[in-house]
Amino acid sequence: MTNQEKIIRYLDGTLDSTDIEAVKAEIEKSTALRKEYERLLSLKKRLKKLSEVEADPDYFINLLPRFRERINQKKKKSFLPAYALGTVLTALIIFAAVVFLNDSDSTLNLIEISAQLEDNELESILVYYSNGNTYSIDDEEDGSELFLSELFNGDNNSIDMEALKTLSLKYAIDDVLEDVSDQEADLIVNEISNKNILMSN
Amino acid sequence: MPEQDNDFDLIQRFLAGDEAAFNKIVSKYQQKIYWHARRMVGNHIDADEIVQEVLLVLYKKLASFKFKSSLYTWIYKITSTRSLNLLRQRKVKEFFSFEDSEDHDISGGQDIVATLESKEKIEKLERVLKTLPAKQREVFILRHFDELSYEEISAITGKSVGGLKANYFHAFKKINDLMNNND
Repeated sequence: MTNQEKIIRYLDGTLDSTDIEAVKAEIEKSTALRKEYERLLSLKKRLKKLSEVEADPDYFINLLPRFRERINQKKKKSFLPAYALGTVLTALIIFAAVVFLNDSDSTLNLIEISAQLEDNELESILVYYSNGNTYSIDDEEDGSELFLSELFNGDNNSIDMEALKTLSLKYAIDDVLEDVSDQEADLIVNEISNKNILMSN
Repeated sequence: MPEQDNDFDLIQRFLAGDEAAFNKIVSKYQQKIYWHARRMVGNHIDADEIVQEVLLVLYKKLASFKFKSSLYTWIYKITSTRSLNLLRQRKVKEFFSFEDSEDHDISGGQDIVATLESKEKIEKLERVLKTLPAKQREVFILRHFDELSYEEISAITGKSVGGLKANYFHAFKKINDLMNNND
């Protein structure tokens, strides 16, 4: 452990009692170490001071009424996403019934069905859904399977980055990342960070 | 604090239909939610949006809260997750050149920070925090500003205490280097 690390951990209060005594003794003995300790302590205090700001109290007074208003608006509109999702599901079921009518072995679920769709068919369904979507937490939970099946090649371990690029440009990227799990989102961000994709324009 | 105002009772009352109990929960935690989100995302508009989202999650999901952790850590977990999601979205947008990473100022001058001195302070802090990777920033904020124990942070982030201590150390070291260079 370097001297700086020892002091940071000492200031953070995470050294055990033996190490605390040892660091204290070293600080007492060494002028250089004492200076470093004082500098880091001062930095810690400065950072804390930077967070002590005066905020407009009205913001916190109005926060709850604004939330209540939002909730009431959502309640008024709440029939729309359910209606839209229901319509999409109905359309999918009808489509699937037509496509798979003679295939008795097929297990039909949304991911499998969507994998069978042509891009333009999937797009029209997504556009249809997006148009009626008022976006709520419930939608996040229910409405993402189609998109994710496109994005993650079905196995959740690899990302079709070309699909991400295409679909991100077509649909709200915010909605895309809202629908993926933390692990999946990390995967996307890591791939992007590593610039590990070939962009074709 | 009166007994009827503890979190467990407030949740029970809310689930029994007492909306005033939800208001009390919000009043109790709104500052913590806002300032945690604010330090994570670095501007008022995004922080405000996260606060509203967190309240919505609380409102809808309190019924499923199992008291396996404290309400306090659950709220931090929701706020942190939302903030990290927003930072991820921002990074993806930057990658697709939807916006400029250096000039992410969507506030349009809107802020709840009142005085010039406060504005200068928070801008400086936000500049410093922005240099940390998102997950390191999360740990640093929870430890340094929210003053949570590593055990509490572990419950929020799902990381080991040892890993969190290392994260905090690297964050502090990075800030130290940055401030040294700027001074």
